Amino acid sequence: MKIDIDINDQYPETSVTIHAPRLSQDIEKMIAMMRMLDMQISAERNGETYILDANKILYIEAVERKTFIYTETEMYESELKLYEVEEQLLERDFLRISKQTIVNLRMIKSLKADINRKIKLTLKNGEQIMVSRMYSDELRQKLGVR
Amino acid sequence: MKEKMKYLSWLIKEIIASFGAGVVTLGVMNCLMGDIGEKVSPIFSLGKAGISIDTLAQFLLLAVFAVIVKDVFMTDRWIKNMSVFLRKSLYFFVIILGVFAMSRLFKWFPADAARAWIAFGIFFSVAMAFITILTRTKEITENNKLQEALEEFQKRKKEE
Repeated sequence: MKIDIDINDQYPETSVTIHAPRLSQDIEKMIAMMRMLDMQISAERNGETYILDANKILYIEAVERKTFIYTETEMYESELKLYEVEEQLLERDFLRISKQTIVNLRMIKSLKADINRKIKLTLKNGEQIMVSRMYSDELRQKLGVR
Repeated sequence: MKEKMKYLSWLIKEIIASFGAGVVTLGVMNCLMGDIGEKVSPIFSLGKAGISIDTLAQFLLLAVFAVIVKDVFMTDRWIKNMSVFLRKSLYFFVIILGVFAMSRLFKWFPADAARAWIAFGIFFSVAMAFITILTRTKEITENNKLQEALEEFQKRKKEE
């Protein structure tokens, strides 16, 4: 893959143009990663690609090597692996809460301590997900609870 | 398969730990009571000489029972949605019920020893009430702390 970088203060904004013979999975992945720098995530639903605003995402879940993104009403599939999404979103108040889930801390409505130091989260759409024991201390730390 | 093995090893570990704790408690009580224990309960039938195989087998059964009840109520393997308070209350209730049933079955106390049974009942009722109140208070405090921290976090992020 050939990479050209053209830095010039004459350009009003940063733009990326991809020239390719066809849209491959690698290119889709590249686009998805660039979107995330802009706090947007590209994801698919019913064969169509959507650009999702990270703030609208409730949580992201990995199921059988696939990555699913949940908003209040819809579910999308992402090209990226969960750890790739996590790397990008960590700075944006997303937190890993189990081996297969990352949650948007701004979208939590309430939380309750559960058995074995787990925490049960209720999201803004009423859905409930569990923070595993392994990650619950990290959540407590992030919220400033000892 | 790996999960099943992990679960099995957890069960065995828990049973050994519970059984061990029970035997240590029995041993201490046996030492304290000496030969008087023989008259108090068949659990201490050997008096100072030690703990009988029968008693050890009965306590092993009690340990298995306690671990099964713990697995049912204190993990989310069998019951997914239940409050911690209800889980702990049911856990203690079933354990007490089990201990009561085993005391009758293995005649740990003579059936006509009314005072012993009343003392047994009062002791466990008070212990259960105390544990329930303590658990509930701790749960409410922890939840309030978590909720306040979350609201504070979200407020801070909104202002940024």
